[in-house]
Amino acid sequence: MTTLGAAPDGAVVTAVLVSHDGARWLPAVLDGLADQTRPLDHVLAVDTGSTDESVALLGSRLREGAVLEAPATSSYGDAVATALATLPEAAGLDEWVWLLHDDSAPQPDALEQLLAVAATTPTADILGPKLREWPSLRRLLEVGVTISGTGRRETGLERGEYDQGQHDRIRDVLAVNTAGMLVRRHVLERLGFDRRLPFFGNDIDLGWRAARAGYRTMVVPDAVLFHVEAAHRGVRPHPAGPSSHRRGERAAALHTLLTNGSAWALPFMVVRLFLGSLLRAFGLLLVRAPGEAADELVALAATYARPWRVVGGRLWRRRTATHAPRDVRHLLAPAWVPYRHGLDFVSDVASALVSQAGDVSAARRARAAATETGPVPDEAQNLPEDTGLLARLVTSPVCWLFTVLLVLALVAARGLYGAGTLTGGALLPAPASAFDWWRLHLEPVHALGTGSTSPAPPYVLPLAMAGSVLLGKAWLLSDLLFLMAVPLAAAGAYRFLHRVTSSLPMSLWGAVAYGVLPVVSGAVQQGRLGTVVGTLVLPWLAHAALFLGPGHDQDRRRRAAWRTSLWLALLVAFVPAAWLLALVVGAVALAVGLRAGDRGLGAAVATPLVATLVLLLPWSVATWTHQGAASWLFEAGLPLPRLTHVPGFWDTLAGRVGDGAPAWMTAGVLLAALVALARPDTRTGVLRAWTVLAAALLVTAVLAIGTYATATSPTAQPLWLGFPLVVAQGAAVTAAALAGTGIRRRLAGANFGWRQPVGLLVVALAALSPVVSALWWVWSGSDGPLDRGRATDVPTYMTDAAADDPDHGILEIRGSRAHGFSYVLLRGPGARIGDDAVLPSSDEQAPLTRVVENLASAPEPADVAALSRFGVSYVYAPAPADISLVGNLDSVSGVTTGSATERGARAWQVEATPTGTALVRDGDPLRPWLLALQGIAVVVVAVLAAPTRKVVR
Amino acid sequence: MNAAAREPGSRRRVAERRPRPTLRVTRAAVVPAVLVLLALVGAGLTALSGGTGTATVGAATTGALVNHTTFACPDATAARGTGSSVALGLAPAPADVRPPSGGSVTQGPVTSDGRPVDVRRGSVVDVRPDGGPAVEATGGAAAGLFGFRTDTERGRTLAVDSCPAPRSQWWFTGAGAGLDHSSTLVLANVDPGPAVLDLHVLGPDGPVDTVATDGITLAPHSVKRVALSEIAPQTDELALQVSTSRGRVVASVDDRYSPRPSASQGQEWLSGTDVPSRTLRLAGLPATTDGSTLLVANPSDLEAVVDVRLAGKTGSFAPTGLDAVTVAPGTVESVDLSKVLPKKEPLALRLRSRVPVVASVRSVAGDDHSYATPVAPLVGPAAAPVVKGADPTVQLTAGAVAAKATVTAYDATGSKVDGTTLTVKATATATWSPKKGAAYVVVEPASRGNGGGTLHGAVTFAGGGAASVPLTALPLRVERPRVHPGLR
Repeated sequence: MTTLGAAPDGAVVTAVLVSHDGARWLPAVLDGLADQTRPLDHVLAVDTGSTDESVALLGSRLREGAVLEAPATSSYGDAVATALATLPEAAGLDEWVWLLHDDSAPQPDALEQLLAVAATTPTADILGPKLREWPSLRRLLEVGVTISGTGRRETGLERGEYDQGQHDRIRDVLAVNTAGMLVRRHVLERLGFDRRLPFFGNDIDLGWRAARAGYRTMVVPDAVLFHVEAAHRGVRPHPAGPSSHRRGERAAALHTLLTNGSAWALPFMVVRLFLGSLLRAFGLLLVRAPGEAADELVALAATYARPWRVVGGRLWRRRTATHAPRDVRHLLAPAWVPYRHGLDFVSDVASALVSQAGDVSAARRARAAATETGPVPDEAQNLPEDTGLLARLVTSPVCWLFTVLLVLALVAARGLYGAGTLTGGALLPAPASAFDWWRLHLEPVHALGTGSTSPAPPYVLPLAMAGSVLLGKAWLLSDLLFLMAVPLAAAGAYRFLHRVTSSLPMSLWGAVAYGVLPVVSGAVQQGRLGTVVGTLVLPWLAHAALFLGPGHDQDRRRRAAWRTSLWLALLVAFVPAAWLLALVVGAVALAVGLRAGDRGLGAAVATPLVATLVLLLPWSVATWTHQGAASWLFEAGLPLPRLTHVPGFWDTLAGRVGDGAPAWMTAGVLLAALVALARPDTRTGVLRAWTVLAAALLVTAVLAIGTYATATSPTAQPLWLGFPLVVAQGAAVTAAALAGTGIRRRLAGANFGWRQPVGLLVVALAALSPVVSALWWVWSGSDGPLDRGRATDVPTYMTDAAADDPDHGILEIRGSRAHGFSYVLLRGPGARIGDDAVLPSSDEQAPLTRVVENLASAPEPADVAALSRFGVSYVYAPAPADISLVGNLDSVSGVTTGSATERGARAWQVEATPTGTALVRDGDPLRPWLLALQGIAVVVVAVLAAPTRKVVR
Repeated sequence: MNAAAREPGSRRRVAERRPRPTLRVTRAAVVPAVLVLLALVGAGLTALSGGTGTATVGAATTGALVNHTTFACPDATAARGTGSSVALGLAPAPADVRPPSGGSVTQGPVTSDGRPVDVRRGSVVDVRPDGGPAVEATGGAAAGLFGFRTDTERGRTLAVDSCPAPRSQWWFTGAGAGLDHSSTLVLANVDPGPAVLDLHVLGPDGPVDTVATDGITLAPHSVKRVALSEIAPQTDELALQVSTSRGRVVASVDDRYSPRPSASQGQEWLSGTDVPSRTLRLAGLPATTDGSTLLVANPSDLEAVVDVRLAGKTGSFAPTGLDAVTVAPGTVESVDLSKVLPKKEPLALRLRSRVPVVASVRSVAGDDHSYATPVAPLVGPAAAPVVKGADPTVQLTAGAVAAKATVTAYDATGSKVDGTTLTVKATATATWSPKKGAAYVVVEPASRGNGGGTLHGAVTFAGGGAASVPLTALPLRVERPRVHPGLR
């Protein structure tokens, strides 16, 4: 130990330099120490088991005996404590310790400036310099530091902010970095470093405890220190692996908050940090940072799994605390800071997404930039840079078109407003809340009928997700999908067509021509949920699939494959037969692509097809045994034998499956698609569209053969062919739009002859077709089985009883003796969207069917006893109740008449208490695993499909 | 073409190459042509499949033999001078039905347990008319059991009624509550639970405001008689609806009517039909009458225009001198058919209307009258009694196709007395009368596959008064409707 003589300021300063594998930076650090204008009284170095030449370097530059060695496992606090232990007894209050890292080099006047402030402000106990980027850059790292309520280290600086003196103000802060921290020796000895914070976050913790103990921490911007932040940036190899520094930092932040926060806020803090960490992890997953998400969760688990550490830490802190927690609150980050960061994050992600997907907008910006360059008149310079959102909207034809479509949709839905829920045709009412969908998706046994272990239909998960986004309002989702089907379909079509044609008029035309398909085909009127959602999803799927082809870089194609997987899975969830169509189209594309020598196409085509099966997991595997293979052919919604018939030739070509528009209305589009083949320069694209068209119609022809029955609805019936015909129509629209690009110029430039008038005629017909269709749509309105009404006709007292105890089921029997009866055993307010596909199979319900047959023909008391075994409390026959059934039930003993609210309906109550012994109660043990696998698959695919984000620190 | 156009060169060069571009156009047109063709083939194949794919819906199936039959014979004390009898019979089993032996039949008052009645297969036994109306049969005796009540008065009036099974809807057309026409509704609840019923009465001027006819409660196992003069006095022609809101009842109307003023009243039991219908077939017109009146009631809110056709010996024809009958909403219309109906021809009526109606024809023969009421198609064997002292006539009317039926007469012990196979021409009416000594007749329509169309029928009685009973299928098999689980 060397005494360099008492400095004029009377203070004694000991520099403590802790090093660990820092040979890269040590020379500069030691130079910085040696160059101090205010010489140091003592210099001590503690090396914690460096494997490089750090020890040798230190030994060569420092006095013998000044280099201490500590074991490699020792923390920063241990190292400092080791150094302090070798110091002689404290001489007085004016004895200081200057903590330095092996990657932090002070400017020559750093110590002088620090001590100057210490001299003028005697109350200051801890002083810290301004940290700038190594080796001598102007970028600011820290000017004092604090912590936010979510555990984020807050510097109050923008990322990469340059030091222009804007933060040069001596002020009180919560904490300063240990790199360059000048602290009174007695304060350091009294407070010490928390042993539970070995490497990260111990500076904030020290500052916080110092503040609680009544000490004052100040930052001195005139003192400058250059810092590598080697551990934080992962430059310094960490013993526990590259990602452990993130874990360590996060765990330290959690520990710091939990141990230093006020006691009464602790429970709130515990919950907030828990949920906040989960949210952060989720957000990190969304931006394809699964490693960081895992670190987040590991840190959370490590902290929360050892609550005694927090308790111990709090007790230890109480030892030194003299001030109330609220006295230091002004030093903590304001409460709104985390939300601002959240907003920044979201907008970052959004802009990343937009810039990823926004090829079009990028091109537009490029054009705009091109026009803006060059000499600018003075007046223009004074104008605001952007014309403003409103101005852009008002002048945008796209905006106008969609406004018109929205208004038309509102007008066309005029018959479907009012109380009640949307139901009718193939559509069941939406459940009371989206959580019912979650429950349906997750529960292993559905209390419907005699109990069902069927997997939930795959569309329940997307519905549950979308419904949750709409704050759980399931009815709103149903309304949006059906009443806004046209604008929504048009939006997707516009996006796709603008990408493939890059012609505004043609994409607007195509958007309308495609947008009216849900109503023109009759899908909306019949309440065909599958076809409607399929129509909405199809353009997005096509858009994602565009980037599968050659001509895009490898990363883009890989992401496009995953994104296509997501869209295809969403589509197949609603229209399982679409998988077949995708297989055919994919096979054709693969055949063509392989001939052209594109080797990456195989994976790009196979990935979505296979991933879809995994994404729809419990259903895609389990439906074979529960609902039978035919469930792959029926789309979402009730199978409606009465309303389903195979369309004729012209209806097939016109894409008219239900009772939609007259077939001639879409003839213009078809004609245009046909004529489009004649234009040579766009023929490649048109041929692709026609390939899809032909494939769709051939698949339609295959699906039209024969009748099919699922296990729940054993009546064999033809399939509803809505979706493949929509695909054909969509392909026709695409072909026409491709060939129509620049058609005016082309027609004007063509030689006089037969082509020009024919071309004009086709263009006119094609242009009129969507307009006429839209007019027809608005005029005919909501003309079809789809209607708004009461979701259930069962009296409320029954549904309430059933909702309270599922064993108090309601046996609803419809129909008549002449036309046959159908029954459903309800365990709640009635069947809702998704319930139809999880009904027990008719084989499983055969015993109950026999009981109902007996009730309808010649009931005996034994049949009533059987009812209670099936958990039936009520029997309900909606109006018009069949006379013979009513007579039977009125005359059999064991049931009493209940009140039916509706005229013509009848209700009975079973007198015996339902036992429900004949019900299925045990689910498939494999189901939770399949669900978990699906959940992981969804997250993984979503992460893989998300745009690549450059991680900036 | 493109390549040619891009090629720098003179017109001559282009002209020289003219054959090649056309060749290339042809080749380039192959792929589009194939695609268009494939699309058309797809649409064509789809359209071809259109006929094959129709949903198949099964019909009702007949299941096991019934093993429980309940019905009630109208329970009314006989008027002075009237002789009443109730007979129970067990029809011989058809060829394809093998009912088990055993089983029991009980007859008794509705208020207590009945007495056992020994009814052998094929036999008819008389039971005490005051023994109680409720008849219950279980086991082998339930299949094919039938019962009849007969009332005669000194060879002047005759009334015959079958004992119907309980149900919840009854319509009677032809009742009355005037000086010359009085009717009494006889109700019985044979079930273990109470029955709650409403009575609605339609008159010539519209619905009759009745008092205390809503929510009439019949306790379990009870009988109630309602004189129509109490609820709708001073109306000669009435239509009456009995509908239960809970439980089932057996309803009959005891109808007394004077064909001429101051003449003594004849009696008849008026058979009920279940629901109004757009097409009605009225059977049971006696061949010889002194006058007939068609009564049509329209319970709907719309005017009914009823088209009447007659099914005679050779086929159906429109009656001369009778236009379509217009019935105002909620009223009963009576039309005199005396001049319209051909004499001495067995007849049935077919009524058609755009709105559902109920109807009957009252025929007068001497001092007595009888009713031809709506009949349902025969879906199985039906039985009717042969009343001593009256000549029975089986009348069968075929639907749009010719039909056949086996008609057999049995004596009281079940021995076959007479029998024939009646062939009925399409839309025509055929008759048959059994030999003396018969106790009952069984009409078994030929099965559909065996050259049989639908048949409707009734048995009329003449001599010592007039009466008629519609033929309804015996309880033989439980008809099991098609039941399937389903949401809609």
